[in-house]
Amino acid sequence: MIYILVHSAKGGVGKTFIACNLTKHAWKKGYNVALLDLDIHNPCCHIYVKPQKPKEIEDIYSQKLNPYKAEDGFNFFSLIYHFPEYGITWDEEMTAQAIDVMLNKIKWGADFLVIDLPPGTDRVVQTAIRNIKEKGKRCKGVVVAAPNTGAILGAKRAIDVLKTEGIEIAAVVENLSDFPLFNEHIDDFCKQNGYKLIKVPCLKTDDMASNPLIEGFLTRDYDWSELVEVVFGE
Amino acid sequence: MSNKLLELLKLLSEKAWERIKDKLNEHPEYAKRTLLLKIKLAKGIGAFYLHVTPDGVKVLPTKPKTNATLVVSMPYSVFSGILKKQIDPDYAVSKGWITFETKDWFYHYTILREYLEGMIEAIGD
Repeated sequence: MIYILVHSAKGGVGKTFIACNLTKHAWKKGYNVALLDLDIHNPCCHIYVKPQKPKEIEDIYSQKLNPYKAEDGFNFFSLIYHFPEYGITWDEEMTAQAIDVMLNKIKWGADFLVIDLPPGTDRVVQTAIRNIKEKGKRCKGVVVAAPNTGAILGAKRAIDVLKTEGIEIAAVVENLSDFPLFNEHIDDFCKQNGYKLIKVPCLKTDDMASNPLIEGFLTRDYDWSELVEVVFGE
Repeated sequence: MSNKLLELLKLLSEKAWERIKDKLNEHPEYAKRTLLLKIKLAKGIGAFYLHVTPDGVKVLPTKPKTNATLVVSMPYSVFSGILKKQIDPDYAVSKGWITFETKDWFYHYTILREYLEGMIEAIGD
């Protein structure tokens, strides 16, 4: 299984949105992909992928936990079903063990696992990366930015962490790239360092309320194929 | 710890066991697992143990020699809050009030949930 780490050191740039859409569209293109919400302190992927509970929590024969099934059919797991609205305050050991179970004791049945990492570069991110690397598994990074100074810094720091761990950067995604109030872009940095940059405009999603003030610049039919091919293609 | 409390816990544990054993027996692999709950008494005056095995539940004043699948530790106040339905077990775990001394706690956590739910239901009887 190849692990796709969706990361940024900055919160609120759209990691979860990109991770969920990347998984959905890769699945629709025929890739055998699953999604893990590793943002253990504030998991939100379930909002986008609308999962169903498995019949049995555990597959006793393979000694693994059964994943949830996303609306689109791919496998999904998140802590949301164990700790619905509770703030997790675990120590390092408990956190590391929960991450280990989520990475290695879920019956993923997939060729690719997209992991929505939490913001920051701290314990959860480090534990997850090291857990995957210790087992010698292949990893790719997808770094999410937005067109403002803080988000660009967050992307650069995420790239730094992934590079330090020897993880290949498959793509840098600039989310909300045409947002009219932001005007700092990561283009030059990507060009100088040879990173593939994919721009995702402000999208009109199905669950978004109609608002005449913003309707004008929202893109309705964004094609995710380029991002899917860049990340999943060899 | 008073004998009365031990007797009460023994009774509740037996009732809880009656409730979960059929569920566990449906899955022979699952039923092989064992649970050891260490309930810590206030002010460090000691602890007692609930040992859940395929043969039933034992309430013990000292730690038994066992390779339990899941070894769990919690203060008596948390244990009693759970039984009185004042504390959700998931909430107690999320806050680190319940700690695990064995690896893979998150994988085996279901055993603890089933057992505590069995005890809560037994109190309701």
